[in-house]
Order: sequence, then structure tokens, then C-alpha cells
Amino acid sequence: MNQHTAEVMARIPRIGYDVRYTSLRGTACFKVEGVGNWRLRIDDGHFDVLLGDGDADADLVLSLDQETFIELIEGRQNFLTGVLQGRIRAEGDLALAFRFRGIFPLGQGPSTPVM
Amino acid sequence: MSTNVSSLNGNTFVVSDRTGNIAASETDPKGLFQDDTRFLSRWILKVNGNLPGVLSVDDLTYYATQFFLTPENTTVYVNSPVAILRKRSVHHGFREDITILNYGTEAVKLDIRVEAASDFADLFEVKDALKKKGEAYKRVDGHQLVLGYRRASFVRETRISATAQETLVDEDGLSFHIQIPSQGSWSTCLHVIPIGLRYRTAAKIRDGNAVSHDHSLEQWLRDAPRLVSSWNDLTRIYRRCLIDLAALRFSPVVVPGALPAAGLPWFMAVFGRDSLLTSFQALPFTPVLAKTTLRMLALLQGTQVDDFRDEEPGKIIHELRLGEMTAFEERPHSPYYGAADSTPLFLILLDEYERWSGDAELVRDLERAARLALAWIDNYGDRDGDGYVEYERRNTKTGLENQCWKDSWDSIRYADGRHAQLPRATCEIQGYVYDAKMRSARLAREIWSDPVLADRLEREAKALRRRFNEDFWLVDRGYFALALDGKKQKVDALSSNIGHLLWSGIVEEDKAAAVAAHLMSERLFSGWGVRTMAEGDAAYNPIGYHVGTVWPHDTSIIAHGLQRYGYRQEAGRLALGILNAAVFFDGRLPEAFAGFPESLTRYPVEYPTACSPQAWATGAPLLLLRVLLGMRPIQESLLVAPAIPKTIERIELLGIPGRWGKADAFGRGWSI
Repeated sequence: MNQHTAEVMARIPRIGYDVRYTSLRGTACFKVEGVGNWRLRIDDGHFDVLLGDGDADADLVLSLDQETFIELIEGRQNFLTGVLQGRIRAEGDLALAFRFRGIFPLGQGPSTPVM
Repeated sequence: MSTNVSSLNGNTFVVSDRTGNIAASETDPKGLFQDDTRFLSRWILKVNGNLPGVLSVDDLTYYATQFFLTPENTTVYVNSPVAILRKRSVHHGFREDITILNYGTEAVKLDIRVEAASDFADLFEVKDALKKKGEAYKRVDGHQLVLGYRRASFVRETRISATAQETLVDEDGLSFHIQIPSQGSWSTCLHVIPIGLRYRTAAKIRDGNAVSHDHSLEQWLRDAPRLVSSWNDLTRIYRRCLIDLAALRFSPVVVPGALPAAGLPWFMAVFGRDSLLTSFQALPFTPVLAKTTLRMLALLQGTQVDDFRDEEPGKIIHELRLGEMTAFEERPHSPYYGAADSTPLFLILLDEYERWSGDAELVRDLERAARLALAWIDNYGDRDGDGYVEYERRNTKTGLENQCWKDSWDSIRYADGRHAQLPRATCEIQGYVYDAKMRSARLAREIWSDPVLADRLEREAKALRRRFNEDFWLVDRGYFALALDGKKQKVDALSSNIGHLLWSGIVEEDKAAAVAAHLMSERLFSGWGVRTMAEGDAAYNPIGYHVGTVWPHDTSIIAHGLQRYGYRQEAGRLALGILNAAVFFDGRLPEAFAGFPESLTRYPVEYPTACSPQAWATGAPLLLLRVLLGMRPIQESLLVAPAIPKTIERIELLGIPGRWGKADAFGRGWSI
């Protein structure tokens, strides 16, 4: 893992809540080249970040390099265009990826009015 | 009529000439397309160096075509002892079986050549004649020809192979030097496989879509109601519609099932407005489309403010594309949200689907999406707080200027031809909002157990109706303005949009007669259907895309609106006009045709670049059948109140699916 990646990952909140993802449940595993596995679990709007090699519980596995990963979690890389460009390889429940495509950067989502 | 031959299957389609050959230019939409990318732009069969001639072309089904050819392309029939049979079947690329038959008394030696190449053009590049930015490559890989294209990490390939032992592969195609004995034959099978997006879907989604095509089409036709009519053309139109709807089914990959793509060749993609309205039209016939459409659009609902994509929280998409220009953000379709009407239409379909199907579970599943959509109407749709939804694009470079169904740049005009200033609040969107709130109030009261929200929505809808009937009404003309412009001035063109107001129910009873009279006047009604803009307005052009042509889906919605207000005879006349036009198009209505009067041309004049088949044009006869039979779900029953022109003696629709199980509807032509 390069230093920039380490610094960015250190700043990511490990837990949080995003009102836009109420009613969403699922786990995405990011397989980042040179870093290892990074998992994002969402449960009814609450999210937490897990580190480690496991991906058995993941509904969605995304394989990508460090640069793309950093751009994605900083909200600079659109998920779908990342897949279309071939920078992200997706496997599993793609609906989950579509649902949380606006979640990054974590913990900084707009408060969405709901009627 | 077109000389192109199309075969399509969900996300893949092939457009060739009548010999099966593809020789696409930069702007010609021939080729093998998948995920908005052309994977094959050249596919030429030659025999002894000559292009074949065509004897006949048979559409076996929407995904398979058979071409009967002779070895030479001559204008005078040659009694050739050699015949060529070319059978193409589309599914994730295509398979092509070539059989050559020798009916001569001696053996023949033939050099068979299939030239192949690909420009890997994005559909947007084909449409707008744009140049590629990456590099193409080609190579022979064992027994395969590999055509490829690379731009950074974006890689697309086409792999071509043949089963014949004598296949010779080079970088420009495949060759076969063969000898066929007298009364003998030779055959090979060619496989053309596109390699594109890097994803694998979850097993539950793959399994949900893994249905064989034959079974799928057969089941599709069997599940739909059976139409019996004294008018044989009507049954032919109906069958054509069902088959074309089957062909336009588009697997969205991320949710199980299929939804209607908008049209071939330019719009084989998920659209908000088109998929919603087609699903609405088809509800009494193929309700499964509505369910997938609603689920998919909820999944793609906006979550943030994104100027490039015209995205806002709660907004329903306009269009999703998967080609190179979308990938590199040269186009905003990942997805693009430039539609101000798709969000209320989403709510309208959700309610209508439940009324027919009784599927309250889906309404509960999508409650949050529906509430977000309602919030979008008030917080983002109404940009300036005047109580109307208006639009002005956030993306000023590649976004759509007009975000209503008439989305060409020049569609919103004053009667004197001037363009309306932005932001624009077109009248039909206000109608949709009224209807969406009234319908959502029912869902809130009956399914979400939220009477407070229901009361509030009804109050807001009624207030909107009252204000709209004052602010949009042109007292001296006796019709509703096409729009309010950026200065809240009434845009006074007479347009088909006023018919959508009847459909939505926003028109007060005392104004309905005048609106109906305008719709049926010679200025708007061509004899085939309602013109998008009235004859006599300065911008009117009978072959202007949204300023004079007739759009069958538009007329079907207007007929439904007339019926809602009790103008059943007028609704019947419109239905008959469009169905008569469909006869001239062999049952397959194009998205639009020219607005010339029926009394002048006697046949509907084709619009030069109209999509065909196109989803909501395909859905138009279905909605018109519903109108003619007066079908309406009332709680657990199907109400049938036919109003059929005398020229159609009898219509029977048997096995209409719904919350009642299956029901039948009958009507006789004496009704009106």
C-alpha cells in the first residue's frame, strides 16, 4: 500500500449513518491491488468499514487498483463509468452497487428530503 | 419502406441489408450492436469474389432471420444451380449458419469469403458522425479472428470463428475454398461474440433471466389476452405489437426480468419516460413489464445533486447508456436525469400497476422511492417555488434543453414561432404532477397507512388544479398554453400536449369541451392522429419532429384522456385513425409519421429517421384497445364499457390478467 492510499484510508470513518440508504442492506468487498480486501457493510443506513482478507459474506465484489479505489472512495470516480472503462471489475449483486453509487465520500451525503 | 433487416434480442441487435451483409459507414446504423457499441461494422459474404443477390428474406422471429441468396447479384434472374441459405440468430452476438446447395449436374468449386471488420463506434458517434479516440487492433488467435479496440483501460473485442474444417482465418475475414458435389451441400456455422463489460451478475439474477428464446416468446404470447375481432387487420396489428414488445424486452442485468427498451436502432436502452409509458400502455396485456420497470427505475433514482448528469435526489432517470462516450464522461448518460416528467410518471405507473395487479407488496417495497419522488417534485422539480414543475438543464454542454417528452431543441414555441425562454413549465408535466399526487394519496391511505400524507397530497393536488386552470388557460383561444416560459408568460402554440391534460384529469369540467373540440379540429387531427403542433402555427411543419408530426403514443394517451372526460366517440375516432395507419405500416407503427392530412395523402407518410420498432408506438394500439373496450379496474373487478366505431363490428379480448384472475371483455361496433 502506498503512503497516499494509507493516508486516505486512515481518514475514512469506520462507522457512520447516511439517511439515503435507509432500508438498504448488504456488504461490498473491494479487492484493491497491493492493499488487500476492504469491506463496506450497510445495514438500514448504518455503515461500517471492515478490514481483512475475508469476502465470504460479500454480496458484491469489486476488483480495482489503488488509484481507482482512492478516486472512488473520495467521490471522484463514478461507479458505473469505472465499470464501463474497465477500471472496476464487478461480480455479484450489481443492484447493490447501483444503490450505493452515491455513498462516497462516506459520511458526507446530503440530507435528502423525504415526504 | 426500409431496406434494412433488423434482428434483435434484448441488449443485442443486428441491422444488415437484405442479403444479410453489413457495410456500415460512419453514420449508417448498420452493424452488430451491444451495450451501445458497434461490435461489427463490416460483414460481407462473397462467393467467387461476387456479392450475392437476394431471392427472399424471412423474419423467422424477432431474433432470427433467414436470407435466401444466389451467388451473383444480377438484376435479371439467373437460373443458377447454386443456392445460398444464410440463417442468423441473435443472442449475445450472433450465430450465422451458411448452407450452400448445388443443384447442378456437376460438382462446383467455390471460394467463399466473409470479410469482417469493426469500428467499435459508440451509438452516439454513429448518430453524430464523431471520430474515435482510441486504437483499433486485429489479430488471428488460433482459429479465431479477434477484432479489438483499446482506449486506456477501455477494451472491447469481437471474436469470430467458424466450425468448418477448411476455415482459413486472416486479419480481414474468413475464407473457405470448397467443392460441392452434384446435388450436394456444404455448410458452416459462424459465431460472432462481443466481449465487453467486465461484470458477472449474481446467480439469482442470471437464473431469473435464463429463459430460452423460443420458450420465452411462446410463453409471452400465451400469457397475453387473446384478441378476436371481425376486423382481421386488428388481430394482425395486435399480434405484431405483442411480438415487437417481446423483441424490445431489455434485460437490465441488475434486477431480474425485463423492461421495454425505447426503440431500434437508436434507443435500445433503459429510458425513464419511454419505459414508464410503454409499461402503462401494456398493463392490461403484459403487466410484468411494469414491475421490472418500476424496480429498475427505483434502483437508479437520484441520490445527489450532480450538474453533469442533471441528477437531483429523488429524480427518476431519463436514460442509461453503456458505450465509450458514456464511459469517459463525454456524454452524461451514466445515468442521465434530464427529464422533468419521468418522476411523476413513475408515481402514476406505480398506482396504475397496483390497481390492475393488486400487487401491494411492490407498492410497499417502493414506498421510500415513491416518497423521495414526491419530495423531488416539491423541492427540485418546482425550481422557483411557484407551484409548477419547470426545467432548465444543469449540464449546459451535453444536457437536453427540453426535458419533456418533446425533447428536441425546437419543440417549445409560441404560435408565432418564437422559442420560449427557459426555464419552461410545459403544461402536460403539471397534469402529470396533479395525477401523481392524487394517485399517491390513494397509495398512502390504502397501502402505506399514512392518512396525513394522503390528505396533504389531495389538498396540494386540488390547489394545483385550481391555479393551473387559471394560469395556463388562454381565454381568447379556448385552450391551455403549451407552457409557461421563464417570465411566466403563456406559450400560446396549440399543441397535442393539451390532450395529456385530459389524460391526467387536471382539466376543470367547464373547459373540457373546448379542449376536446380543438383536439378533433382540422388544425390538430390529421385524420390519422393528433399532430404535435397545430396546422397554422408558425413553427408547424408536417415533418418537423415535434412540431407537426403525428406520434401514435401521443394520440393513444389523448384518446384515453378523451374517454376519461366522456368523449367516447372522439376517442373512438382517434383510435380508428391510428389503427388504420397501422395497417399501412404492416401493423408496426413507427415512433412518428408526417402530419399531412389523411384527405390529402390517403396513406400515412413516413418520417425520415423514425425508430421502428419503437416501444411506445408499439404500445399505442394496446392502449387504444383498452380505450375502445372501456376497460378500467374497479377494486377487485374489471369494468368494461365499450365504445367502438361502427366500422369495427366486434372486438373480444379474452383472458385479461389482473387482480380478478382472468377476465374477458366484449364490445360491438354499434356502441357509438
